[in-house]
Amino acid sequence: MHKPKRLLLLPCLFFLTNLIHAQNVLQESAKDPLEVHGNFNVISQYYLTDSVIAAPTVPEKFLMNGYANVIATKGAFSAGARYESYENALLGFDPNYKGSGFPYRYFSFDNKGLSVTVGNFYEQFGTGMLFRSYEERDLGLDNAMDGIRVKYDLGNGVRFKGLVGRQRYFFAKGDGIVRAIDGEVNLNEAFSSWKDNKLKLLVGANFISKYQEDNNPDLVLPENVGAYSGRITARYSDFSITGEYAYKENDPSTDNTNIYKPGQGLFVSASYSQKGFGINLSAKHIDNMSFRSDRTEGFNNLTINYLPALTKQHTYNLAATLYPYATQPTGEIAFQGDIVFRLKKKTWYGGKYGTRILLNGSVAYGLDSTRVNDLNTTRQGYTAKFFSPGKEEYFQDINLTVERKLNKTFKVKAMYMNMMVNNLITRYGGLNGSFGGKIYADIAVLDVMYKIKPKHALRAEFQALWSDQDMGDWGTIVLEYTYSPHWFVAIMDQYNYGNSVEKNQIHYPYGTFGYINGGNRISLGFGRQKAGLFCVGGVCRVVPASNGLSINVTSSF
Amino acid sequence: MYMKKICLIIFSVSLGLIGCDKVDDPYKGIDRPTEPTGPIDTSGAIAFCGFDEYDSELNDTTYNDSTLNIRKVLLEEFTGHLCGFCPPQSKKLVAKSENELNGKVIVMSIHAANFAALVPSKGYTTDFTTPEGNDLQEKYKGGNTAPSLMMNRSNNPASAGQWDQLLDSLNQSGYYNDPVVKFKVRNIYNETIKTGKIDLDIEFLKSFSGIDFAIGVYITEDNILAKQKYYGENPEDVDNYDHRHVIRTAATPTFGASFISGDVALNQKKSASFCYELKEEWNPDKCTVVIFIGNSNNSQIYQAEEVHVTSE
Repeated sequence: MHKPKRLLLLPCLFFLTNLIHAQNVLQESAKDPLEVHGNFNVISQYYLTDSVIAAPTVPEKFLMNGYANVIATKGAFSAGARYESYENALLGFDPNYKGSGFPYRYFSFDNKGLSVTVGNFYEQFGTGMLFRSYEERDLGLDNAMDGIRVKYDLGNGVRFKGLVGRQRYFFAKGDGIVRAIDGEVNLNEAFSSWKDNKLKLLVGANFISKYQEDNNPDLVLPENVGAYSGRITARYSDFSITGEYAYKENDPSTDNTNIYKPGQGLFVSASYSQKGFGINLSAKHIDNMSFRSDRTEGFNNLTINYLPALTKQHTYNLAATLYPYATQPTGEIAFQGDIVFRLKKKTWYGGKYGTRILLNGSVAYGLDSTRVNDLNTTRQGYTAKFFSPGKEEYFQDINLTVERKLNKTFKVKAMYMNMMVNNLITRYGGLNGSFGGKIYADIAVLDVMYKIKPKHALRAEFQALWSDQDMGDWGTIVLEYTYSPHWFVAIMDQYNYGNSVEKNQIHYPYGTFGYINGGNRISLGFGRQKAGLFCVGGVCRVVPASNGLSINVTSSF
Repeated sequence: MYMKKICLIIFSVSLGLIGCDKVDDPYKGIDRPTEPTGPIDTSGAIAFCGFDEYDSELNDTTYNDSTLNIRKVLLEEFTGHLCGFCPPQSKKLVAKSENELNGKVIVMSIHAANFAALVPSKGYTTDFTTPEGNDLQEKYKGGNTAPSLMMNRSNNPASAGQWDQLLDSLNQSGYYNDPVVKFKVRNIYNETIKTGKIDLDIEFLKSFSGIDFAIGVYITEDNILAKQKYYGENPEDVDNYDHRHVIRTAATPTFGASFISGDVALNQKKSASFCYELKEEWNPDKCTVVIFIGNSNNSQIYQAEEVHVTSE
């Protein structure tokens, strides 16, 4: 049963007493000019019926996502708001994004190291493994906090942050209350004897607690769920290493099928770099680390933390949208390595301008776990060995990129990727349905840039994906012509020529035309877009197939 | 210096005082979950089906999530091994479901009525009938005019000549692209005791008022080789005919288990779990779990989904 609930004392309440200094700040800021900045973006699409690619019928025909940010600053003061409009949301975005409103507004001021924000804000502690409030517009993800945040920089490398609030849930707020505190010390600044030390050390710790009412008729749900982490970053000459360990107390939720096992995570990344050479090795252990301010939520909704992906985020279309990998918050062990080196210019092997080579490899496994038969007693569910990969491999990617400028007009980039994605985990389904097993794919890319004459450039992209599973082989061609600085036009065709289902051997042509002038960018696109996944940093959303005319207008000031 | 000390004290005290509830005994009262019967609401208690669902050594776990843009239609074909007109129509339907309507429809074969009767003297000894199939026959009488087809249990069983037109009109109406719910399906199958567990997370993509929703969970088996009357073949009694998507059993009552009643809000979510058992003679690698959500009052189905029993 519950242990007695303890007194809630928040550090930010103390910091708020510093508001008495605001009068002084106001006087000083009066001398500073008022600056107003902002940006605007609207993406709209007129949808055509296209049963060949299983594009869904859109009753509205026309859908739109749009927003505008306006931020005003005057000296130490800053205030801003964002208007968002989804009439209705573009296909692939959660239908909860519906209507228009001001889901984001804030006011903040700085005063002698104290920074106060009321309203909405984004924040991250360490790697974000326990707390990251952020916005990724293309994913439809926005877990902005709405509450109060206080930061205090005490000087000498000591900094604190405290915050309380609820998270954004589309145009409303989530049920849970999030309370968090973070402290960080730069030891080289804190101790005078360390000031000139070649070893640079930064340590930090944080504690997060969420509150959500227990309304379950059968289970005793912890209303206050605590989690804490410690982190360290060390640099010595060309070496650096960063690590964070996090522990989360019992947090039964829909994600973990209501088990009470604590969660834990460890992230370690080490790197070495010198002129022309760099290496980075990363590893992580994630066990039951889904952390949301509403235990019943799913998808990308109301996530408190962010579990960094240890896979390369590919940018070339086939690799980026067909078989990307999403971090598995319930449990995974992952490793990644990057090696970058540059072959000397004016050598027989490096060419006249030098050559850049990047080798990347990553792998993710399930946990090495053993079930505990306690579902009608303590409900711990299972035990897992720390940092021990299980038998089930989730993902693997080995890729090599070579970039070389051949002469003043030609630049070439070639890439080869060998991937395995376990579709029982990623659960992606295209036109052929959801393939139930491991998908192996080889992908090759040739990207050629030709500078025709000053201001005129032509870029061509040739991509091929070979696979014996799922939808088989794909090919992609992109041609892009740029007339700097204002105009560009591009055409692309993707062709699923190797699909084992003959009727699904489909072309996906798409054309784009655009104009750029200063902070304004207007582009028109027309054609088919295949169904796929769109991922940023291991967080993904499904993008349905579509056909139609899209208009994208961006402006910033 | 004074401020720094104050902050450090606050930081330390906060770590100790901000709430964190450690729960040693998760259950309220003395009732503990036992073997489930019927649908189980997992928003509270977890369901289990007599096996260790975390044992990855013994279990096979499969998933299928519906997308936000596809509404799968359940096609139920009344047939029988004595129905000599049925095989060509059945093949045509399955081919259409695997190609033109791939990912949009789920086919189940109901063997019922006279065409499904056993005739040992002529070698028709495989009993494909099920209590669920008999219930459907009693209500819809589709077996009397086999082959006949129901779409989401919303039409009187249609004769084969109408199938293409009905399916095409659904396609043109955009029905397949207008999902009512999003299914998130997890299936865990334990071969040792030939038992499986289906976990469903269902999100409503539309709001409803005054409807009693029911969930149906059926098991079908594909590629069963057995005797079939096949007019036009020589001989007409085909020994190893490939019977497709045959209903084997159900984990719910025939017309579904009560799921949610009254008003349902847009994006409202609810979970449920069901257990099922396979008979020894059924091949789990060929079995599929078919799930549907429908209206309890008129038995019409809104949407269906499926997941394979094993990952083979």
